[in-house]
Amino acid sequence: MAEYKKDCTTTQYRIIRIEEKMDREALLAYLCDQLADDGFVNSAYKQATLKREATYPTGLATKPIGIAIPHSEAENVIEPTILLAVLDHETSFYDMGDNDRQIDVKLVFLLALKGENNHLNYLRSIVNFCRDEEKLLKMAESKDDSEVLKLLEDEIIIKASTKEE
Amino acid sequence: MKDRIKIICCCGAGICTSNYLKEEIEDRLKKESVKDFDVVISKVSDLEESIQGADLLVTTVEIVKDYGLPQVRALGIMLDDEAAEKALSEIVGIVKEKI
Repeated sequence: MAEYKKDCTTTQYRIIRIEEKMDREALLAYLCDQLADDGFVNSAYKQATLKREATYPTGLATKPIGIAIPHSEAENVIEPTILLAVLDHETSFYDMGDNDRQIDVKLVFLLALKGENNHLNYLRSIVNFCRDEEKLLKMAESKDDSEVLKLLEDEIIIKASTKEE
Repeated sequence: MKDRIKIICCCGAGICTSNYLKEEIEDRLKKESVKDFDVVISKVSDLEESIQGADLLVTTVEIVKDYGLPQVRALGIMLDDEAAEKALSEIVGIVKEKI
């Protein structure tokens, strides 16, 4: 099993680098399988997340490169986990605000979380981070996984988890 | 004239981006000294019900149906300062007209 780290609450996180070029569905299925294999989500999670992405896409047109924040209902989550996929090749996601528009994405924050506050805290931290073009680019273009992990911890995880009640 | 304004924040699952909008709108309206309002979150599939009695619909996603009340597309609140300001001031304008 891959190594996960835990923040000061119960949420665990890790990064995964995707070297191979994959389309959106294959990528999402692969990421969901990782969580299911590790026992953090149940067998229905993958289908629910794929279905949700198809109906209500989660691509965000951040600059200079897009991100995606796939998520679905909490009922399929066993242990709250954030999986950050760093893509070596851009993958297109549909825009959350415009189902006809595709966005090139290099970072995928798969949120397998429970509870609305939990989602909101992490979403807020992710959005705040990604509005900073310089930091976003640094994370998206880095070839050094330990650098990406440190950015994730310092700029997103810590800021989100300290807001939790 | 209404005693209380009801604003619906809507996104796909009703758990994530709608909550984000809700907080931003509440913060902004408080700054504008607007007090008598409620912000209710909803997922798209529950809109038929949650829209009852609402005065304004704010969404991050595309809503095709016209519910006969003002609609603001507010994904910009999450993306950049300029777009956020535009969406929030539009919301404030609509709310202030109704109170």
